[in-house]
Order: sequence, then structure tokens, then C-alpha cells
Amino acid sequence: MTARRICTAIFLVFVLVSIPGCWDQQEIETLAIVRALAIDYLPGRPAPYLVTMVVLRPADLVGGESSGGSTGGGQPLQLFSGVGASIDLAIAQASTALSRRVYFSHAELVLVGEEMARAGLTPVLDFIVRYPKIRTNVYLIYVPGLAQQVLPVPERLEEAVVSEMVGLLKNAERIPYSDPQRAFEFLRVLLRDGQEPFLAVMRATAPLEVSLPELKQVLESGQQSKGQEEGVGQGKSSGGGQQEETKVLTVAGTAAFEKDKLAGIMDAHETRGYLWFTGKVKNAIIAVHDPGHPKAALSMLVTRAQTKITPVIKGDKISFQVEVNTEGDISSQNTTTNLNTPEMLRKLNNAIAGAIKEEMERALQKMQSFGTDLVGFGAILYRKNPKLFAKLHKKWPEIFRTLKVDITVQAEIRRTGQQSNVPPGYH
Amino acid sequence: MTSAFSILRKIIRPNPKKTGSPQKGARKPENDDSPLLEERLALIKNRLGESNDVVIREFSTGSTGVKMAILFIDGLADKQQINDDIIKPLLSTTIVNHYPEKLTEKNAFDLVRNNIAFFSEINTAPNLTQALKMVLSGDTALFIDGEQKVLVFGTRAWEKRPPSEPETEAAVRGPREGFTETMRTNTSLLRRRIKHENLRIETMMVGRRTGTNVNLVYISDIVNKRTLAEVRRRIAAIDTDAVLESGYIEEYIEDYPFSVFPQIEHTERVDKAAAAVIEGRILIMTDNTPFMLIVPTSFFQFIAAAEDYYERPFIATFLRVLRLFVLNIALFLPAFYVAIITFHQEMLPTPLLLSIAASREGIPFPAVAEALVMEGTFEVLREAGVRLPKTVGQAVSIVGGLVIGDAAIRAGLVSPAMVIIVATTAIATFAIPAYNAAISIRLLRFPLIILAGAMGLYGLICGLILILIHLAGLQSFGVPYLSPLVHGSFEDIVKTFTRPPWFLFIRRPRMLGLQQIRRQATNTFARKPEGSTRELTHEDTGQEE
Repeated sequence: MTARRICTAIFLVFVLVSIPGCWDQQEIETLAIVRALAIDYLPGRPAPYLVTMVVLRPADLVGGESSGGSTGGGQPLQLFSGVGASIDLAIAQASTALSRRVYFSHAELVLVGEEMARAGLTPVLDFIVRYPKIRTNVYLIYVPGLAQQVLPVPERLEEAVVSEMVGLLKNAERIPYSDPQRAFEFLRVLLRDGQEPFLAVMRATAPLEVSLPELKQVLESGQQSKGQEEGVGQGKSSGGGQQEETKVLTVAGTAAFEKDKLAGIMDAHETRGYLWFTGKVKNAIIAVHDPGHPKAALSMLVTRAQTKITPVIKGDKISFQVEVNTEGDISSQNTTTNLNTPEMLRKLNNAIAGAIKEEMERALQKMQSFGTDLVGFGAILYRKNPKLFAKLHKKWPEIFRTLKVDITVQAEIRRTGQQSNVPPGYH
Repeated sequence: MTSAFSILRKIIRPNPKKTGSPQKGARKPENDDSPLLEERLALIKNRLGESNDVVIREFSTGSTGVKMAILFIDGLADKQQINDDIIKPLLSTTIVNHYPEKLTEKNAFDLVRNNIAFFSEINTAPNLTQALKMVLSGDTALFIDGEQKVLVFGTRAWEKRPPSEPETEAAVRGPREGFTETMRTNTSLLRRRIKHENLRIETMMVGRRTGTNVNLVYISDIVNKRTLAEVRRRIAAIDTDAVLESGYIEEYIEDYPFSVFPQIEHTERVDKAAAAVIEGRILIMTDNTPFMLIVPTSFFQFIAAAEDYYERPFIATFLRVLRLFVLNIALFLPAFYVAIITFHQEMLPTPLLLSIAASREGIPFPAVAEALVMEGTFEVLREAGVRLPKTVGQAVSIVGGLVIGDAAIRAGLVSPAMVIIVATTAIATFAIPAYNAAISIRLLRFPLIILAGAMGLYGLICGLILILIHLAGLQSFGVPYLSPLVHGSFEDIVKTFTRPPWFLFIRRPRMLGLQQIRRQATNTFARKPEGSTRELTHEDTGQEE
């Protein structure tokens, strides 16, 4: 009896194991782990989508067995490109060059090129949301020109260029010169009435240490270079005959979208002005003139910032009141002015508030010139008065272009950082 | 569906059927017993044969020359004692003639028992068969010519191992004494710890040929009487020729002999046994083995160690929770790893995935095969190490663990990640205090790995559910195996997963259904000087100025 039961149990377990087989089984070494995707649009072609996948070659990673570290092996990342009439067709074409199954679950970045952004991001978003393996929390990044161009840039601190990019974006979240968006964040804003989405901008540029005009002159005169064209310096291989372009990746600036189409680019400072509207300006450094020495600079590190936006509706006229409250510490001072007097502090506070206000106004002007309401004034109006916004919502971009926004900034220095008073006669 | 479930249930939980009638299949004693000494001695020689350790000493004593004979087994009985305290007074004329009554065949039995023998433990056997049984346990029989009854002297004394530190359950803090192979020593060890009149030691004899003594130890006013009766019934029902270790008894009396999980806890530690008895459990002591059984048993007893109760409560609680965690690691880690690596790579953080992908590059086997082979190898290594002498055992672990492991990684046959997993699992297995529970878990690991390799996490969860259903269906002497989780008070649950300070151990486990549940008053400690809350000062030392 018991023997029969045991036999039945073993049989049942066997059936349980064997009938589904190894459904969906995929050994990790049979996967082509895609770490980033660059999607470009080539206008005028019948198959306009160019997709470049960055695939990891695990054997070249540090800790991989076959090539004892990164010294002997090649790049841990390999590029695979394909073109097609749609993104998935392009991927299918790229897969014909792959020895492993394409695996998107660990993709961390989707880079979109300029033409793609102009043509509209709908196909990209459709791909990200529809394709089950790719996550909606991938970073969606705008690249001027061809998105593909930033991929061969050599990594500097991380083991591979994609890790470098992810690191850049994570760090960019701390620095108020861009606001990297993940795909779902972009999508959420895109679907919201009265607000337009934006993306952070990533560029591959020549590093400042070689591209700065003053430095370039010195370098060129010292080196007797032979026909270097653009601002290009010496790469790692300066010893060899081959002159390699050194480029570095930077994340700064914002690409503003109208619906899913690119409307314009804001530079790093305009982006910071925009970020004041959202309050995400921690760690910003605001420079003003020293009240004691108008030629010297003095700067404040923002430690806290709060922004309140309220719509003011007077009959037909709609305007907005933006109040910014911020606190900070003095982070640099090039003179010996004693800042620890109420009068000096008041002057300083006013100067800083003025600087911030100017920054914000510049950013607002830029947004108004694009007609893209990145701040979401429309959405704020909708929350305040849905019926009114329902009437306006068709013409909101037009209204936004001429919207009146009153900006008041309250800035307060908390710590001047002065350890002692300057002895008289020091000057 | 219903029938499928009923089949499944039958498989998972077979009905325990016990053979009802305790048929003692022993032979009828030969009834050719006669009071005459000569016939008796002939009979003894016939029954015991010519074994060279059987000693028979015939003599006659008293003025009338009463014939007597002494029978004992050399090596089991204390010869010195027999010489000095039995034979000497019987042969000494001053002692025998000291009494006013003359020693005759008629009064010899009473006279020897009451007056002549210098002996404390004197029993009476009604016939030869009974006497022989006792002699074979080490007693000494005195046969008197013409007397049916036999005097039996308790002279049991043989070479025995002194109590030593229990090797299987070593503790940093706690008594170093463990049980030995000698029943009398063991009962004395227990008695020394529980000096209460209600401690009962009940003897049963099991094994037709071995005649092994099995003692039930309990406290009569605490124990659950129904459980006790059930234990008695099950032990009485054992009909076998030999019991050489408590493991025999365990298999005969446990509720579900076809389960992989041990349903009876065993211990070598005297303090643990005493604690169990005081808690209201029943201790089953088997002669000739230091391992004592504790019933009823619940699963969570296997994660408790004796030391928990001697160390500070916080540390003990931490260790207990850690052991529970480690139990899960020992059971699931390799299967979980296989499932994640072959099915659910998206669940790993990206950097971890990349390291694992790098380490698996060029490995010729799928992860399941790798895991099975590695776990199998580890089991072989362990098995090889257990049987070998200690000095050689180390060589095995060095060659097996270090040399083969390192070479396998260098040759690219196994991935370093898998070695880490297997090693972690092995260490986790060693952290489970109860060896018998650890073996079951080691065994269950293999089907889980296969399930995980075939169906991923889905398979792993299926396996987990099957194990849980099985565990939930088990019982040990009427107490659910998963109690107190399934059948117990909140207090019992708290006491299972934590170890409260001793002054909060107010009740015994409710699930045992005891006669007395209360252990102590609610506030049994006095910390501060009576009548004042201030701290002691030097004025309190009683010195007068």
C-alpha cells in the first residue's frame, strides 16, 4: 500500500517536472545582455529606424575567466546595429548578427537621436511600453545629432561606457544642470494636460582641458601639430602616430518637447532656471557680486529650496504667482568683507534673490519662445479651476507664450562660513 | 480535481496504522524447574550451555550442611562484592552460628535474606527462569537446596565509560556531562538534576534476544497521562528480536515512518533531557546507548540549542532567529540560485547579473547539472570525512575541498559563483543544531534543485508548498508537528522564536496538554532591597557607628 503510494508520488512529481519541460529556461550564458539602446531616425529612407544595441561581452569583464581582466581582452561592450521600418524590425535585423538571444531586461538606457526626437518619440515609447522585457524605468536620454555617436566614446571611470553613462545620469540628479527622466516619467508628463515633457541632453564633446581656446593655443604652439581640424586634443595614444579624438560624455541641458516632438534645447544655465520652478535645485551654486567689492564674485550653495506656484484668475486674465524660498551657505568669497552684519546680509540676500529671479526669468522666456509649458502651469490651473482650463486647454500653448508670471524670490544666507573677523589693516 | 487532491493527500499523509495487540511472542518458560539443587544446576548448564563466563559456585554451610550454589556472569557482576558480602558471611561459622536459630534447609532462605548476607539490594525470583533473566543482566543468584524461590543479589557492575562531554551537542556554556551507555549511570545523572519525589522511572523490556531495558522517565504530576499511555502502548507493541540503539525504538514508535522529517528528538545532553522532562515531555531511555528520545516533538525544537537557555536572552533570541534563517538557506539556496540563473535573470540587480554572467562564461554544464554535481560532490566529501580517523579526515577536506574545488574552477568546469553557493549552503547546514533534522534538509535539497531547474521559481514554490503540506500533516504523539504555530498559544509561539528571560517562563507549553501548566509565580525575582527603592549604600552593610 505504502509502496504504491510512494510510486504514485514519484510518478506525479515526475509528471510535474517533465510535462512543462524546461519552459522558458534560458541559461545566462546564452543571453546577449543589452545594456543600452540608441534609436535614430534616418529621414528619407524607406526603413528609417536605426537601432544600435550595446551588448555586453561577459568574458571581457573583470572577473571573467577566459581573459584574466580587461587588459588582454577587447571592449566589454559590442555594438550591433540594424535598420527597419519599425524599431522591432530593426532589432530583428540586428539579431541576425548575434550569436545569442537578445535580452533586454537589463537595459538601462535608451538614447534617442535628434531626428528621432523631431519625428516624434511615439514609436520609441510604444516599443518600451509594449515590449515586456524592457523596463519602463530605463533612462530616456536625448542626444544631439546621431544617438549612436556617443556609444563608442571610451569609458573613463567605470568598466564600460554604459556604466559610465548611468553613473553620469545618477550624478546629474544631484547637480542642478539637468534632470534625467526615466521613460515612465516622460510618458506620465506626456499624457498629462497642461504640461509638456522634456529629456536630459547627453553630449560627447572634446574635454575642456584640450578644447579651451587659451589652452589650445599653448598646446598647438608647443606641439607643432599637423592639420588638426576641430577642437581636438591628444588622446591616450599621444605617443603613437595615430591621433585619436578624445571625447568625454557630459549630461547638461534639457530638450523640451511639444507633445512627443522636439521643440528646442535649453542650455545648462537655462535648465537650472527651469529647475527653480520645480524646487529641484539642491546643491546649486549661485554667484553674485560681493556687496563690498562689486568686481569680486561671491557664491552661495543652496541647501534648501521651496517653490510655490499659484494661479491668479481675474476675469479673463490669467497670471501666475511664483514664490521661491531658499536658504544656503556662503560657499566662496574672494574678498575679506565682513559678511556677519545684518545690513550686509540683507544686501547679500537681495542680490542672491535678484540673481535667482533673473535666472528663472531667462528660463521662462526660453520656454515661452518654444511654447512648451515644462513647468506645468496648465496642470496647476487645471487643479485650481478645471472648468476654466477645459475651455482653454486647446489653445494653452498659445496662451502660455504670453503668460504673465510674477516671480518673487526670498533668499536667506544661513551660514557665512567666516571663522573670524578680519584684523583691521589687513587690506 | 477532487480525486486528484484526495490521491495527493493520501500520498502526502498516510494513515498511521498501529498493530493493535501487543503480542509478546516469547517462548513459554520451561516448567521443568525443580527445587532440588542438583537438578537445577543441571538445568542451568543445559540452558546456558558451556559459556565460559558463567560462574557457578557450590558450597554447603551451617552445622547441618545446607547445600547452596551461587550463579553469576563473570564481567557483569562485582566479584569482590560477591566474595566479601555473600560468600564470606555464609561460610563463616561465627556469623552463621551467631544466630540462635540453626541454619536448616527450611529457614535458610529467610535467614540468609534477613540476617546473614551483608547486602542492600536483595530480590526474590519465584523460579529459575526469572532468576536467569536477572543473572544475565549482572545480578547474582543464590540457589538453596529444596527451596523453590531464588535469592537474587543486585551485583551489577561492569566496565563502563564515565560520563564525558557530549560530542554531538557541544556547548560553550553548560554542563559537560553527557549520557553514557549505562542505564544506571544515566538515571543517576537525571536524578541528580531532578530531586523530586514525583520523578518516575518506568522500565519496560524490549527485544526478544537482546532484552534491552527501556525506561520511561516523566514527572507524574505534570505529564499528559494520555500521551504517557500511548507511549507505553507503542513500546509494548514492539515485537522484535533486537534493540541495539534508540534509533530502533524511534522507528517503531514514530507516527509517520515514511516521512523524511525526524518526528522524535534525541539528545545526549543530560541538561536537555532534564529540561524536557520538567517541561512535561517524556524521556525514553534505551540501555546501551547515550541517545535518549524525547516525545512529543515539534519541528521547531530542532532549531533550539541547550545553550540558548544559558546565554543572555537577547543573544539567544538572535541566534535562534539566525538558525531559522539558516535553515531556509540550507534548504533553498542552491535551488533558488538555479531558478534565478536559468529562468529569472531579470530579478537580479544589473551589476550582480554581470558578475555572474562573467563567472559563468565558458562553463560547459547548465546550472542545474552544475548544482547537482557540486552538491553531490559535497555530500561525498562529507561522508568520506565522517568515517575516517580525525587525522586522515583533514586530508580529505583539504584535497577534496581546496584542491579539487580550486582545480575545477581553474579548469572552467564549475563557476566560482556556484562554489560560493554550495559552500554557503554547506556551512548553513552545519549551523542547524540537530543533526537528524540537518540530514533531512540535505536530502530535500536535491528534489528542490531539480524542480527549480525544470520550472524555475514556480517549481521551487511547488516544492515548498509540498513540503509545507507534508509538515502540516505530521503529528508526534498527538501534538501537531508544526506546533506551536498551528496549535498553541501566542505565548508558546513567542517562546519558540525568541528566548525570553527565565523569570518570564511562567507556563509550560500549552500544546502538550499537561496536568500542571504553571511553572512559577509571575514575579519570582527580588532585585532591590525590600521596602526601599534606593540603591544600597555602605550604610546598609550593617555596621554600626
